Amino acid sequence: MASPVTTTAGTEMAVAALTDKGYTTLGDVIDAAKGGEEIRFGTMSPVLSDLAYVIGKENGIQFNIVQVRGGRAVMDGLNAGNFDIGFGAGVQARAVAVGDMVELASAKTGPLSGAPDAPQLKDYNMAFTNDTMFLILGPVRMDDAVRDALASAISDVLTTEGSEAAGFITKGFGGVKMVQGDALVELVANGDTQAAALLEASE
Amino acid sequence: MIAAELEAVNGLTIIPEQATGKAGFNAVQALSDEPADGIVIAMIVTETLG
Repeated sequence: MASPVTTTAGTEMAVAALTDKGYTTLGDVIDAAKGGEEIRFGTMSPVLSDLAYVIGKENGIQFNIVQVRGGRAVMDGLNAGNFDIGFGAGVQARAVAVGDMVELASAKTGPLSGAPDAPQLKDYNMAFTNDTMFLILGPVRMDDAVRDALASAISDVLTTEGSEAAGFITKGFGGVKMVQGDALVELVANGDTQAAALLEASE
Repeated sequence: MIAAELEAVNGLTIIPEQATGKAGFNAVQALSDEPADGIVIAMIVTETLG
C-alpha cells in the first residue's frame, strides 16, 4: 500500500436533490419509489454505488444507480435532470445554501453541518455510512522522517490563520481534519474493513 | 490551494498533474513507480484504499 501522509478534510456526504424535485427527505424518495417512480441515483465511486444499492435493499426498493466520474459530475447530472438524487461530498454546499438543492439525508456518521436536522441513514434501516476523508499520500515505503516532514508542512499551511485552503475546506467540507501517523494507518485499515462489510451486505 | 500555499510558505515549486479515474486508483497507480523521497505525492480520498 502507498504511504498515507495526512488527511486534510472530512466530507459532508449527503444524499442531495434539486429543490424543484419536491423531496424534503430521503423518506420522500423511498415513498416515491414504492409508488412506482423510477429513481435515478448518481454516485461517484464503487463504494458509494454499493451504499446506494444497500439503501434501496434495506428499504424494499431498487434505485437506478449511475456511477460517474467525480462529485462535480453528479452535481451536473442533477442539474441537467439526468439524476433524481445523488451523493454529494460537500460540493453541494453552495447550491444548498442558496436553496437550489436540498440535502435529503446525511450519509456520514452524524448530522450535516449545513443541514443538521436532515435525517441520517440510520433512520432508514442502515448500518452503514460514508466518512470519506481527503488524503495526501506518497509512494510505498516512504521513510517516516520524510512522511512526517510533509505532514508537518501541510499542517502548518492549514492551521495558518487566513489560509485560503482552510477557508475553502471549512465552507464545503466542515473544516480542516488532520489525521496522521499511526492513527491514520488505523483509519485506512478501518475503511478497508467497512468497505468489505458493505460489499457483503450488497450481495 | 494547498499546493499554492505550500509554495508560498516553503519556497517550493509544485507541479500539479491530474490522474483522474477509477475513484482515485489511477493516482495511486501513478505513484507506484515514483521514488519514495517525498518529491511525488498524491491527493485522493480514503475510500480509494478501502
